[in-house]
Amino acid sequence: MRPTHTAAVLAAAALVLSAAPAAAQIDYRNLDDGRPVHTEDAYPIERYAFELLAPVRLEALPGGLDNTIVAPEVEYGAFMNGQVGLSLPFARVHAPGASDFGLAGLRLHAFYNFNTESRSLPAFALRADLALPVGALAGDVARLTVKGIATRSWGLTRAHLNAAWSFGSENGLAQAEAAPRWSGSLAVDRTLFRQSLLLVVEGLAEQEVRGGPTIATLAAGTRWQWTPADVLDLGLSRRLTSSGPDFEITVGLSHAFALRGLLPAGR
Amino acid sequence: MRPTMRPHVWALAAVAVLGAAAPAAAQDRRDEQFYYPGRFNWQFLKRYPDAARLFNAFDYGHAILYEILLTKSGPEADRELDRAYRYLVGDLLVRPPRFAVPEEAIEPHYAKLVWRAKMMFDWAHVLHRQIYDVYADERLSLPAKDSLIERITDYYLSKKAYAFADAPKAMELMDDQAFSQVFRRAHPRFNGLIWAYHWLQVGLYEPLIVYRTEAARRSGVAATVARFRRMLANPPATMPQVMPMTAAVAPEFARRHPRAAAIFDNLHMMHDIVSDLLLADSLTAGGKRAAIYDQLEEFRDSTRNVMPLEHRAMMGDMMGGVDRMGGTGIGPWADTTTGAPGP
Repeated sequence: MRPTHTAAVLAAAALVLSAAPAAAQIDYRNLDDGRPVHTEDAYPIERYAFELLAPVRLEALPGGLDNTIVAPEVEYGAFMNGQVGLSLPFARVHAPGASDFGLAGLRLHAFYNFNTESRSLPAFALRADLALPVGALAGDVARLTVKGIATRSWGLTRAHLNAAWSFGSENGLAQAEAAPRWSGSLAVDRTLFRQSLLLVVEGLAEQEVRGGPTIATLAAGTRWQWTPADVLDLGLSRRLTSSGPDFEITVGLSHAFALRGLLPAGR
Repeated sequence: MRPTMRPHVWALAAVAVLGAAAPAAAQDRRDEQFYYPGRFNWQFLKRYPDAARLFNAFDYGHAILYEILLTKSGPEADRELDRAYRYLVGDLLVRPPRFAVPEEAIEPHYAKLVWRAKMMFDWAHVLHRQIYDVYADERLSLPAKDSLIERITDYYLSKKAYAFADAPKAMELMDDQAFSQVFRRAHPRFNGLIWAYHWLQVGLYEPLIVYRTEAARRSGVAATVARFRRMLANPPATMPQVMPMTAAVAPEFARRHPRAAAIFDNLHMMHDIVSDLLLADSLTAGGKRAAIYDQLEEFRDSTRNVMPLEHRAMMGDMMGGVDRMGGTGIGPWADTTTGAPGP
């Protein structure tokens, strides 16, 4: 993928961002995958809602390696209590003396929430991601990831538990954004409702491939409602084990809207 | 079992566990839905931020009230309500949040117990807000605004499981059931605050409709908000003494949009009913949930226990006059030719 293609994608995203109508005012509480930490909450976007996400992530890895990933994504509340999404991660993979740039796969996902939280049960959701080997850095194999998600709240504080497993060949994986073999994470967030701000901390463990080291990281982040339709997020992550990224920084903007033609009434 | 199978087994086990957690009868679905899109959205917040932000504080007020009524009782409830009232009037209504308050974080026990009630209130509050947005959009003519409001109302009603009836429900549902009027007698000051909220929520439509220039609308909205703030001066004497009815407080709005007016009256009656039911010591938490859900079903049904529209138009007089509701949205306290605040 050439840089001009990236520019075209970003320009198209900017056009939609500028033209689209508004969204819920409390989107800052909707933890999306990677926005700003890996852990997400058990609730999808609203029925009929679209959400555009424009995240940038910098990864500094041991040995002088570093990655820059821009992963524009669109999500849609395609059914009640569920969503589907499409992501196109563009990556710049840099090693001493060499660097590469390109599309690191085409990602599709579906997300379904089973219940809202009740007095006796947390909210539960299930998510499936399919990574297809499309692009120069996408590797040679497709990969399916299944994730279970639970959310429990205590007023302004919530806890989220995620556990994911991936299926498919581990030979020829994408050079960036490859789904780990398994991962588990726990995040706790706190809402500052007068500032429309969410603070979150996360502990994560994962194994990238079978036989590989277990990587543990600690992350913190924030989401802030910038406008009624736009949320800014910022996250930092640091490894706790000898392997894994020295640090990760993620910055993102998400924007929600709906299309009148897809509504059931009042067109 | 081969080690390579473990991830699959774990994944299948997770699916099984999550599947088992799929909602049984006692589990509510989240069921959130995006509101009607359009450029008019957020015009009220943009042009009238002082008024628009008040509604974020109102949401907090409703939420903290329900949480306290559900989780506290006796003197402890009195103390908590007093503390919440002082926080609302002395702080949150003075400096309301920029954006909506996540009510489930303020009323966690209530939201977990009766999510459907929370969703029905939210969905109607969205309709309230969008109608302000339409009226505040200076790019639209008045006929275009009226047409758009009817489309928005259609969209609201299309989510049948969460829409209040668009026909006015009988007042007896609020005032003459076994549990009725308990909250207003036990906590007249907080109840007056809720009725003052409801007065402003419908009263604000009038200056946006009646005044013909943007400048007049601005000063008219400011006057109506000032009237609301004066209601808080000497509670409960200065607050509404009966529930504000849309046809009396906002007659021009009710004439143009009778369905929306009925929805808002039903919404406000249901708010009072929930307060009464949460205060009922004779009911367990499960009993309160069942009773509230029964009332929600009643208020979704537009075929029974409804009153004729002409009857509704007389409700102001039947309830002792609109002054007992706080007055009309544009009252003698405002200069109706300029919209300037009156004495």
